Amino acid sequence: MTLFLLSFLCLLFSFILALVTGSVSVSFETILSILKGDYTGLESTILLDVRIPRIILGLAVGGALSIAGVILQSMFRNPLVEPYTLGISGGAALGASLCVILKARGIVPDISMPVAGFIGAISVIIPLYLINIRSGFLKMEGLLLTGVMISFIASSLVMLLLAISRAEELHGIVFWIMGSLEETEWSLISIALFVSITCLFLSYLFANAMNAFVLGEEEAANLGIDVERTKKILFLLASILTGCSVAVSGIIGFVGLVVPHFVRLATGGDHRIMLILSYITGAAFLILSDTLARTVISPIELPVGVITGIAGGIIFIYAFGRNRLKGQ
Amino acid sequence: MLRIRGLTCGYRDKRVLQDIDLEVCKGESFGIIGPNGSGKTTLLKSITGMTRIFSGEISFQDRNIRLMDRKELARHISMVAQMTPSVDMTVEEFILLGRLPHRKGFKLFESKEDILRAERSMELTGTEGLKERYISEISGGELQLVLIAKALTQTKDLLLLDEPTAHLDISHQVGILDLLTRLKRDEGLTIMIVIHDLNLASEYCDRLLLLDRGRIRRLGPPQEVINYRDIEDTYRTTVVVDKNPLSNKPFVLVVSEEVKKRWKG
Repeated sequence: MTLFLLSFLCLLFSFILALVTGSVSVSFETILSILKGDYTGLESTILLDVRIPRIILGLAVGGALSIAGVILQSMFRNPLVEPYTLGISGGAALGASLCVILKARGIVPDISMPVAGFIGAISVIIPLYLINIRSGFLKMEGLLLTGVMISFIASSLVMLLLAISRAEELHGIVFWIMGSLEETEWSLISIALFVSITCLFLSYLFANAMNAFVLGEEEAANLGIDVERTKKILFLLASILTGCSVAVSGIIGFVGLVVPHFVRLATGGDHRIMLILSYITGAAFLILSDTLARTVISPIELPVGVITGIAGGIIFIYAFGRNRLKGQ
Repeated sequence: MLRIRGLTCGYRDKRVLQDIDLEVCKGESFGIIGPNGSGKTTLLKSITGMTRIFSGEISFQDRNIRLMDRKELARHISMVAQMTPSVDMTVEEFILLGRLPHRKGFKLFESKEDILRAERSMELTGTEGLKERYISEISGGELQLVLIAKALTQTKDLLLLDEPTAHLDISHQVGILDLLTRLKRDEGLTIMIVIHDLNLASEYCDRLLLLDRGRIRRLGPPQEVINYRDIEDTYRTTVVVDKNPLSNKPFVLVVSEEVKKRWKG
């Protein structure tokens, strides 16, 4: 209970910090006036059109990537698996790159890239599933290996596209791949939030199955779990979470790997606790990282993936080292 | 309680067990012995529905297990497999996993009954003192007790145990088998146990099944199954079989190649 409260406070703190901090500082009183609709100045535009969409997208994507990591790590019984291991992000990056190269960005300017990214993600998920399903059984080792291979192929193809693209196209692709929460299209933000919360709810129904999965597939079956059905549903949920997140925000690394680890170190391996705590912690972590990315060398904005990688890595090594020392 | 008729089963296209016929009665401790690769573990797995059945039928309480759904089967049959779980769970959390088959629908949290059952299992196996400790922190002997406690929390009908005494010293081996005997006597548990140690099998099991290359070599009380001819033929090694003066059960002594040469000489 203390941990839930602590993580919730952490999320609340990240919300407030992200609202007040930036190239233009906005006081707490002004924020309240803007939210009440009493103030319509420059700060109002900054808050309503820039910061709040970023916070909500950070909540949706940070939460989604974290629970996708929890799901995949329990399914594969491998703590090194993360949402990007299966090549879904590679597919999305390839889709977005093709969208730039084929000049399809202008078709529907605001949503072309996310749609292309999502199509790219789906075009990896479907063959990945079909290749590894044999007489109704989803082969986990095959899924992991094929995913890693697809990831390599997609990265190579993206590099090929980068090599043959012109300077302005190159910038568009690189900027998208590095990941960002800069999205102003409310319809996309709403979809991302809806998908991540729905998938959190659905995956929570399988929290006990994930607890059993950690013991191995046979042991889970001995505990009455319909292993094959559960694996397929969990794979689908993790794929949708990853695909949607990458489509809307590009590739933001490390969240899906470091947050589940961190939460596991703090709480143990019960997925009934882990899923919710990972969602909240992941959201807070991404919102804080984005705030840092916006402000650390303001007005230049750093790619948020750089911050999640550096900060996440340091926090993780510190927490892991501390835990090991305590254990000794 | 459990009836197996004309069972041929295995994995993918490989038939591991052939023409198995046997019955296990309620409250019985039924030992499965045989050399490595003879199909002992496969027999247990076939009862939990984890193998491919080519022909024959397995019925539990007069119901074909193929027609029972996985949760229902798990409410009656639990398996203590050979495993060292690497999980970040306390002993109590781990034992409570045994109640998963009893949760209806998507019920996520333990009921009072679940907790009472887990506490009773810990009491029966003497693991109450370990409940706050992490699985990774306990010894091999304690782990076996915890695995049995989890299985007991799951069901008190039929327990399948795959070499529960492997890698344990004799004191822990006897401790585990004495515990199973008490559970059988006091709780009415039926036990099917795969065991490599022929002497422990002879001492603790009511009946034994000797498997040889996937087929039944002999089935009956230890006095019938443990005889030098069957043991030597099945294990392809020389043994001496004698009788334990206290329990009157047969025991097996191995004969090394050097001793054999000396005797022949």
